Amino acid sequence: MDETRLTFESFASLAERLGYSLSTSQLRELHEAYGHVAKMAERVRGTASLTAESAMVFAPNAKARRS
Amino acid sequence: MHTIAEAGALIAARKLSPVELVKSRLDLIDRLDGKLHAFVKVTREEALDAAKRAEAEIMAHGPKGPLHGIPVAHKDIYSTRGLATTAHSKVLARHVPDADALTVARLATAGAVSLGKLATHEFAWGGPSFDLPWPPARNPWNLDHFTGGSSSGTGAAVAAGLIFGGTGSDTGGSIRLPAAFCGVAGFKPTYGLCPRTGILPLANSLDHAGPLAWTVEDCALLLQAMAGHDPSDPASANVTIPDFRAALDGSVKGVRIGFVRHFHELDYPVEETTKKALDEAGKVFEDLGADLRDVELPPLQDWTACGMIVMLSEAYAVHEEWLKTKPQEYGEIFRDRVLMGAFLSAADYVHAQRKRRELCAALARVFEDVDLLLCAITPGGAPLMDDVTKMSSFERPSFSFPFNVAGTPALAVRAGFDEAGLPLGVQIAGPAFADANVLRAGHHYERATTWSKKRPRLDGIG
Repeated sequence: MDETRLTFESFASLAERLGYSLSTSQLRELHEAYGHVAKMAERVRGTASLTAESAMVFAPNAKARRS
Repeated sequence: MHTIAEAGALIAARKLSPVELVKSRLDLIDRLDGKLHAFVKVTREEALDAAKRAEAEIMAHGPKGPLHGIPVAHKDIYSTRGLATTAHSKVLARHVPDADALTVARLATAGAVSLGKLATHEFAWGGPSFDLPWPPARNPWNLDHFTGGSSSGTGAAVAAGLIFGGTGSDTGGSIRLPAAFCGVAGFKPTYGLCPRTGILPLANSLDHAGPLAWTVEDCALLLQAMAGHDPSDPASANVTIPDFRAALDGSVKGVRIGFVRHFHELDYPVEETTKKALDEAGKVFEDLGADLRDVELPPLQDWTACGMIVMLSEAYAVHEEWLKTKPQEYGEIFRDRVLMGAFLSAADYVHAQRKRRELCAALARVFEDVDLLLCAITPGGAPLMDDVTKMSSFERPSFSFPFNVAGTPALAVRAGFDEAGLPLGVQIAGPAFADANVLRAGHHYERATTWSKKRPRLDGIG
């Protein structure tokens, strides 16, 4: 596993710190899916220059949205 | 069964009664929806009242337009005043908005008659689920097969003829996938063309509202009513809305269409029947006089990764509190999918949004050389309901995500049938605000083929 991905133990520990009490079987299933998500997170990193802008640009004149 | 355009013309000529039309759809719902589960709520009395009002107005003054008296329904993430808007979830089972979503109000103003609220995957992502207050919608072409989602009820209801058109939302393909699997037309407009005001969010920067209907022309008619600037939606585009129906006329002669072959040949190889349908669609466009050429975009995996990280991050932010305080009120599929967002960092989100800008620039470069794109929408016909797994969204790339990431218009239109008789679709996309051009190409493709003549057999359902 890539070192940027969480091991099962780290994943379980993070879930607990985030306030989720999950069963071991649920944690295992989520950790397996997390492998795919972590790969996607790695894929979007790394190619942008230091000054690359986000697609979301702050607009100071934004108005409130009606719900 | 008429299309909206045909029924609208008959109503205008006073040859078709909106009251009789609505009654016939309500009868069909009574007969079929016990097995289709396309609706979560049928508003029978309100629909009949609205149909009577429409009929009286038409008799007195003529129709307001082509939607006057036409039966539609709304995905249950569209707010409806005084009527529960649940997102198909126990979490919002008692949520009764005090105002209609702006698009719901606009369709009502155009004279469309709402028959009720339609099934969705929970909060527009978690499905097909069997642990929610309502069962998942079934595919009218074969009840054992998936409708696609998340606008599952709209796809099923339009395909079965329960309604003439309906509303959907599309964050990663949720209009186009049910359109393709249910064999109808589904259009995701440019981001911001239809206001999201009053529509429950999945992921704000990817959420699009749009129509599903039997034909592309009908999508254009619905879009006409739904589109238009709303200053209370910060993403709403303040642009002139063209006459989408009128824009269908003309031709696609000389239109430069980029065929994104690598999406379905290399990035995510599709079934042979789908490949054949795509090749045949390309041939149809060439026969219509379009200039078809291969183009290359960043790989599907880049678009999917970007879209998924953005979607997970934004959706998790919406649901974080409820996931902690009442996780038992979610269905397992949505809960476990959206929980993935908890394990992403703020940096992951920013990286995805930076990547998004790169991807949009790459798409814009391609649109310097072509007017439209042709590509796959699904790898094959609708899978069996039982074969759709909880985490499948994370396991393979998506043909629909590129145009959510870019916010550009994309249409799913039927393009044949697989060996099991299930519909196949293709996707036509264009640059931002070229919605009318995408619809025109889809309309001419549809008119040049016979796929829209075939309807699902309903005699075995009721």
